[in-house]
Amino acid sequence: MVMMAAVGGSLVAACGCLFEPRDSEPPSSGGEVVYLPRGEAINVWTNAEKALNALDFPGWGDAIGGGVAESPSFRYFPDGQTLQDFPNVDWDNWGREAEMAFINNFFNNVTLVQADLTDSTIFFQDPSGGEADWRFIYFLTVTDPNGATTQYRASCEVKLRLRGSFWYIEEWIDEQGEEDPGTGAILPTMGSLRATFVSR
Amino acid sequence: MMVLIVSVGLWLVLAAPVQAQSQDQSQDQSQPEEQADQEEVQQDRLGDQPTGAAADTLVAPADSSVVRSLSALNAQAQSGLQQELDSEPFLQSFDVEPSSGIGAEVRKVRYWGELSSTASLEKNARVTATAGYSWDEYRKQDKTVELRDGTVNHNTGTAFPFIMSMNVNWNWKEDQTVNSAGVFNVNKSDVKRGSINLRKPDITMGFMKHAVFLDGSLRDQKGESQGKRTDSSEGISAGGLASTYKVLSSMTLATGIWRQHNKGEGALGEETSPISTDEDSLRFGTFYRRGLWKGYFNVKRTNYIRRYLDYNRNTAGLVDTTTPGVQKIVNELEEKDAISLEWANQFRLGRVGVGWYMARDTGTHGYQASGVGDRERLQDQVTADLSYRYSAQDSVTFSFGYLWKWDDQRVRDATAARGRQINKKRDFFFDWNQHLFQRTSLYFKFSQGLSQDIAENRFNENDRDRLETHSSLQVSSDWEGRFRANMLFSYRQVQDLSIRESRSSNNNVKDTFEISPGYAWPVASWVSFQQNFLISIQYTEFVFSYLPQVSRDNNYNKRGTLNTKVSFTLNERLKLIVSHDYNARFNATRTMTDATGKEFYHIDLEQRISTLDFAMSYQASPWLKLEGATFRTKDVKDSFGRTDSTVDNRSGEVWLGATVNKSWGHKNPLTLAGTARNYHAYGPNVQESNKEYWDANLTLSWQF
Repeated sequence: MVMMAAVGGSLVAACGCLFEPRDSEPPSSGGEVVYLPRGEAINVWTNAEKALNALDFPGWGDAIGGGVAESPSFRYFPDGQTLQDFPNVDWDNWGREAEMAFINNFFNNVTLVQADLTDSTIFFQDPSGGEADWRFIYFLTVTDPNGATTQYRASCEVKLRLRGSFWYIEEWIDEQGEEDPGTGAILPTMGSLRATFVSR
Repeated sequence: MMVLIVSVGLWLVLAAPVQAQSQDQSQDQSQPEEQADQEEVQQDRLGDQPTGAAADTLVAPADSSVVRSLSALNAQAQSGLQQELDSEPFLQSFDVEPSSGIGAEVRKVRYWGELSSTASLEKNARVTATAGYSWDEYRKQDKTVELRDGTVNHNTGTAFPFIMSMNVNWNWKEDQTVNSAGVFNVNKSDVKRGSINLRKPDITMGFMKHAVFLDGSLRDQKGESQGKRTDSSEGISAGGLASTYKVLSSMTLATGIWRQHNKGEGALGEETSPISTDEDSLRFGTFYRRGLWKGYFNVKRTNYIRRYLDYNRNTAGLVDTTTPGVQKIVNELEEKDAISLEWANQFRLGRVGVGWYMARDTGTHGYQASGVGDRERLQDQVTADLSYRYSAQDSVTFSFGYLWKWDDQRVRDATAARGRQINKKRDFFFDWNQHLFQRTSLYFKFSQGLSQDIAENRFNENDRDRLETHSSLQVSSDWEGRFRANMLFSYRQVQDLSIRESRSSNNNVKDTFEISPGYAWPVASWVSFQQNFLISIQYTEFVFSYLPQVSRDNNYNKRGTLNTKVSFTLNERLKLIVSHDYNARFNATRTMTDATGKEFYHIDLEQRISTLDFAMSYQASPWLKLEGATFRTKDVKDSFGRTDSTVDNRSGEVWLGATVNKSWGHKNPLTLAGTARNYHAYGPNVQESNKEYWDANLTLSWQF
């Protein structure tokens, strides 16, 4: 037993030398993304919007609990239009892993996102007992490296849960596409965005 | 009425004389896929050396929906032959099972009906037909979904020297929504498909064993999405050959080839165009098991060319609707080519086990019309593990994993590639299970993983590293049902580091310490007691918080929880559970550091949430159980900032319901089964739709 402990301890100590992250560049002035404390539920929804606008992968991960063992299991439910347009995506098992893969590919392949996750509020109340259940209309404009833009506007229901010290988005249910305020055309939901990037 | 008409039609189809025999349709539909999955897992985990049939699974491309595992078919054929009896009557049984039900939940209510008919013929042949209908009404949205479907399946089984199955499917769907602006939208689809599949397993030629399979099908799809047509009709032909060769008693070689061709016509919006797909797959593998070694080596090459109508897409793959002058619908040509190699090996000598797995996947994927252009990708993966079991209960395991992958994109019309988007991952795990003394064991786990994202040529600013370290020590004692106790110490550190200056302001290191004792005490046969405690603190240190351009400051979050649960089994019928959860948390931010390095924090938030639950169940009769539960939550939150505030929220819920499972009649039983619960909730976060609702899942079925 003592030998096992010694061998394990030695390898554990050696492991710290194996895995060393790179040095970061000191931040430039004006580039800071000021996230709000995640102890309040609405701050997490605001932070998700900030992460989209800043193309900040860790910020999105904090909102949905990416990489946090105790966080709730994230689930995404697409709308009917997305289900029909992308039948080959494994929507039934869209959890945190698929969401993180999507957001990583998404941020790596676009140059600008203008997001307003509370473009319109359908239902919003103070959370109680560690649960929040809200409905919003969100509006996204996505620009690709060549400058072409695509818009997404849809109603969604989001369920947030308090786990440990922080709130997390536990469920994101896209309901249906909403009208483009400019043209009146019905825009797609973020489901089509997820379907496009998840398999890269 | 619709269900009834469809069902009668299917009965008429079933009543027609069937000349050929078939095997169990359910075997044909689901079992081969399940078996194929199991064999794949078995191969991945280095199970027993596969037989020739198992090696046949090398043939089919994994993403082809028409492929069946030949090994499963082989098993089917053998099973059918053993059960073949010439003296059986042609029609052995004819079963019909109509069923209907209701499924209610907070989001929607579903009404459904289904009619399933099965004719069992001689030599285990079977013909089945199903017809289904459902209607969904959404409670929070103005939305309805109507589904209709029908299936007829016939399998010839062992009547011929080959296995043949025929399927006809029909799926109809209409999804109607009205959005918040009152705009009506409908999505429709109507898909009809007929297919015929031929299999000939176990063709023995000398030392080799072959299997041949041929598939043919016709598919017609009519669809409408946001007022635009999405139609297609195509014919699909496919064929393959799988061969195995047992070189030695300890080694089997296996090869496979598969080819599929689709041709038809597609319509998107106002455009109509021919569509086609050509898909090939070639595999070679060897499986070995000799002495202390076992493993496999596998090479696979797949490629396809697809021609279809698609919306014009920009360089990110998104539908481009805003660039002026861009053609909205285009004829797309998509090509994909991929090669994968893998080698898995395991060595076991007494109490020592060594294993490794190495794999390489590489390929190209390109579009002629889409702005995405061409992509090249590569992934290398290595895992290795070493385990030592030095007694029946004690073991130690080390494992190491390495993943290196990249993809490189050359957008359409670009002269040069974008640069590689690289992802590297390294992981180390150490597990130690040690029996300390009587009824008490120790479990120690340590893991560390580093993930790195690198954009070659800095084509984006998303370079980042994430280093995660976790260790836990758990001591557990179990006095065989009389008392259980557990103590867990845990430490986790997560470093989230963006490399580029535009993203590095939030770089942080989170350290979390946790202590969690707990116990379970069955006081008597009718009452048990359980408590778990948890104390946790997480420190977040922002790496660049000392710089003036970074406004984030270090903080900590403390929390404590106490969960208590008392269960009563008052008699065989009545059970009660009372539980209480208490959760307290404190968030604080650093305000200053003095000359000695001592840090001072300001508490931003204190929150205490207390929940009392009560649940009961009463078995009123063998087929009826009455149930109910309620909870009350008190949530008090104090925020301390420029102005202090206190929020006191109360919420709760009560539900009453029943679980029923009742049958009438023995020979042709009528069965009612399911649960129904009525919920009532209150609190600030309760919406109109979930103040009062039914959660039910009831099914009424009849067999005759």
